[in-house]
Amino acid sequence: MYPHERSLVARMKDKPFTILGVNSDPAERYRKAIKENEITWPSFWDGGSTGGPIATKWAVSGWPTIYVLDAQGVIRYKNVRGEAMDEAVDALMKELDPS
Amino acid sequence: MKLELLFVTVAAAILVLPAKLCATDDPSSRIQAFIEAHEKKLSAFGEKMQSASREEQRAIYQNEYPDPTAAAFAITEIVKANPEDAASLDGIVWILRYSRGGNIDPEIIAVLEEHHLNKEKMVEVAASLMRVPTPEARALLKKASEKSEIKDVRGMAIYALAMGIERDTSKSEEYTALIERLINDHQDLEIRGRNIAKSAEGKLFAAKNLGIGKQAPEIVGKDVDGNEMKLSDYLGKVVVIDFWGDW
Repeated sequence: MYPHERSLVARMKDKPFTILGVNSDPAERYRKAIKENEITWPSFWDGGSTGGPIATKWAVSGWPTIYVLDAQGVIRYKNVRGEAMDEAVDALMKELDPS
Repeated sequence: MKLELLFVTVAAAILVLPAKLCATDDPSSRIQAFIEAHEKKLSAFGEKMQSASREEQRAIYQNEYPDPTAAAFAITEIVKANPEDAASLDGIVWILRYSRGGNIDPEIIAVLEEHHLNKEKMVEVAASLMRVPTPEARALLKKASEKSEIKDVRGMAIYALAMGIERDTSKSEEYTALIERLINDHQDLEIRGRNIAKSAEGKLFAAKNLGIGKQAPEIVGKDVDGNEMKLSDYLGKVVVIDFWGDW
């Protein structure tokens, strides 16, 4: 996951795009993961376990779970990984800037 | 030739005789005999698996797992001959447990529908039918959800109907309606100590708000250093929300 997400973030640098994490690790482990994997994008910290309030409200039962939102905040894709995630993001970026 | 034929006939008669004698027993003990025989094979299998090495286990599992088909078939025959008997319901519960969501004889479904809708054990039957997609099974669950005199049977049938279409996006309205019925009418329903309506509330929120094309619900939270952040801060950007953990 990390290398792919890093390259996506790099490719979208200076564009209206972000990965927004919701992290379920204990705080120390989360801090370590950010450092070791060069995670530059923001994350909510969901209280240190998979039973955290955000994951519970969003009925997440498997990790990772992915939602892709357009610039208006509408859910457009779910659980796209790898190339499918790139394609989803590219399609939404194109909607934003058709040129 | 004739002698051979005679031999075969005699042999067949000898084989059939004990079966005939058995037939005089009541359905309950006959069904129990099949179940016990299979459970015995299962526990012998389990012991063999436990004493085997890791490398041997896979082969043993693949080649020696006791196939329940023959026992299920025999029990099915007894059930068909004694549809009203309470023991038949026990037999069906057993068959469903071992069929792992596979094909269920439609006649079995008919027996349940006709004779056992108002029995407590139908709760377990409904739970087992969750993953059986045949029209007969779905129709039985629908009938149980409406007609059973036992409340938990109705509740479990509703839950099983909902779970069967959980991943079918074309049926999301039907799914939502079933989950709402469950939450409104069956708050106390439990399966193995887990409250069904409570877990259904999360599913309902997801069905209503987290579908493709829905406005994503606001998330208000904090980063690991305690700084407040919210999803709506990122309006105007394409956002990949990633529920993740480093494991």
